[in-house]
Amino acid sequence: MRWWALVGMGVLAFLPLLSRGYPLHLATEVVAWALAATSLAFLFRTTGLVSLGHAAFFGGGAYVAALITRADPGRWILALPLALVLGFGVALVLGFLALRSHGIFFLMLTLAFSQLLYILVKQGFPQLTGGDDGLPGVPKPLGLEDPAFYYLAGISVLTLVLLAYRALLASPLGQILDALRMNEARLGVLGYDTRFYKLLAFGLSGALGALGGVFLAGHRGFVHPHDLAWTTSGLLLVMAVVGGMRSVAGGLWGAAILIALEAVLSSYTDLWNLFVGLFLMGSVVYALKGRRGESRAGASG
Amino acid sequence: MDFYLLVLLNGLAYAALLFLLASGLSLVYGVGRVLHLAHGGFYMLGGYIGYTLVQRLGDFWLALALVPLCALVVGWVVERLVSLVYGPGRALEQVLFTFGLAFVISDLTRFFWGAQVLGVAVPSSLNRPVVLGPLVYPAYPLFLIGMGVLVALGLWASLRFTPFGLQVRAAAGHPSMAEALGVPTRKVLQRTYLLGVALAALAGFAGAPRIALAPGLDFTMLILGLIVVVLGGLGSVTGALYGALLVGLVDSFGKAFLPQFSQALIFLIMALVLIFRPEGLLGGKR
Repeated sequence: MRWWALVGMGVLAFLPLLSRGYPLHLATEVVAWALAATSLAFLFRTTGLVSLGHAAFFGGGAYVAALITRADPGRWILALPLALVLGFGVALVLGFLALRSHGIFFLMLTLAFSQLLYILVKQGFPQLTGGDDGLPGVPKPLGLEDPAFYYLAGISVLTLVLLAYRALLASPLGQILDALRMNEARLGVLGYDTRFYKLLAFGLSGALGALGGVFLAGHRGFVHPHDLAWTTSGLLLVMAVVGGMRSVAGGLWGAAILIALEAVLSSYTDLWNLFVGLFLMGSVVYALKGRRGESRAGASG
Repeated sequence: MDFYLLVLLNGLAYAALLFLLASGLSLVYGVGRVLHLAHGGFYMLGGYIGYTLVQRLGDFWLALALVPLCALVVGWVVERLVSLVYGPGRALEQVLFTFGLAFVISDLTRFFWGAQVLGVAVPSSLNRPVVLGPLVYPAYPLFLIGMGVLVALGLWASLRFTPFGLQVRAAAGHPSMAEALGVPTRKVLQRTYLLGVALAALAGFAGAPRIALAPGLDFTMLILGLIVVVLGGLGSVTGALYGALLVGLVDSFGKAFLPQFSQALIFLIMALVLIFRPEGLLGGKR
């Protein structure tokens, strides 16, 4: 990335602080979605796998944070690591189940799992999860009660994550993960345990998705089953695709574009998902023109 | 004892609907290697179109006959779009494209039919109880079971004995060889697709008296269809039959004995199958 782009991003990042209010709210929203969209893009970039149920990690992290911190804001100390560990662990289990056979099972299992979680949260334990209404009254962490501070904390975390992502790609591990996407069979022949690295990448992706959810819960102050729904998975996917699945900052750009678009469009129409769908279809057709042949689909296993 | 029979029949009726849904999903994957994530959308579309037809025409059976035809028309157009992403090694594009398509269908149905829950009444000729030994059971689920059996037999026979079935089996078994031997795989895939969406729409309308129409139904059914297909093995109609029976019965007995967790139970079984038979119950035999 060029230095002027970095400076531009820095300026953009501080701009919402001037106005507070709605722009700051939207910008904080962007940070939360950017974390999750980055986790999805990271998974594709490293393994070539696409998760169709990333809302399970995003919304799941949000629910973990809400359930733990509602009683006592001091418990944020506990909620954050727990959500990360859970995101990592659940991804490992799902990956263990789905990566044994044909790559297409990964798509289906992630989709099915997120839908299962959605139904369980919505109908399974209404007294615990609030059922259809979700859970209100999620506090912000101690010391970050001011939305501006909360936003700054989020931006810092996001910056750290993106820097770590860049450093990871340059590291030996990043080289292996890159090779995993490009030619899994050859990597295996070279003696690397490709399944281990796939699981590792999926685990990291799950943890990062959960981090986004945790941040979202504190930002909005409530969680809703919608955070776990397939529409959320799809929106995350569109963000990753629009921003660019390969680039480090792709998730951030995608989240910024889509959140801004939603803020504008939602005042005209409530057919937002129609646009998300058309976006997905359009970006696929558009991408086909550019990089035919290079787009080796991980789903084909 | 009657209770178990009741639960069993409910499960079979559900399995019949799931089979209609999943067999198309499985066939389209088998012939074109396309995972059609908009399949649940066609199920829901069938239900809504049928609802409107019943409102306008006032006759359930006429609507039942017209719904697959409407699905054919819509499917013919949509297939043109989906064909943009046909081809080997393009699973990712196909998945993203049909996922987007599912979004579009979902929002368009909400736009045209609204977000409220809609129900279709059981046709008057079937709105009566049937005495089955010790059990008095409604007639409509029995009709669903019969329809499922008929469709299963019809599919089996047409795959086994007709030229179209031969081409489907050839294209599914060895696409490039089939193409080299002059099987028009593109055309076969188109017909399979149309057959699949027509069956899904039929299931959506036939199931509407029992499963109310509401937003989100498309994805619930898509997930169930995918689970059925995963259980049975992708690309196999027989597998879809066994998978549908398994899911239908587990769901029915789960609802009777563990009402909150019947969905979780289905998922548990899918996880077990993926651990012990990663290619599905019939996967290895194809």
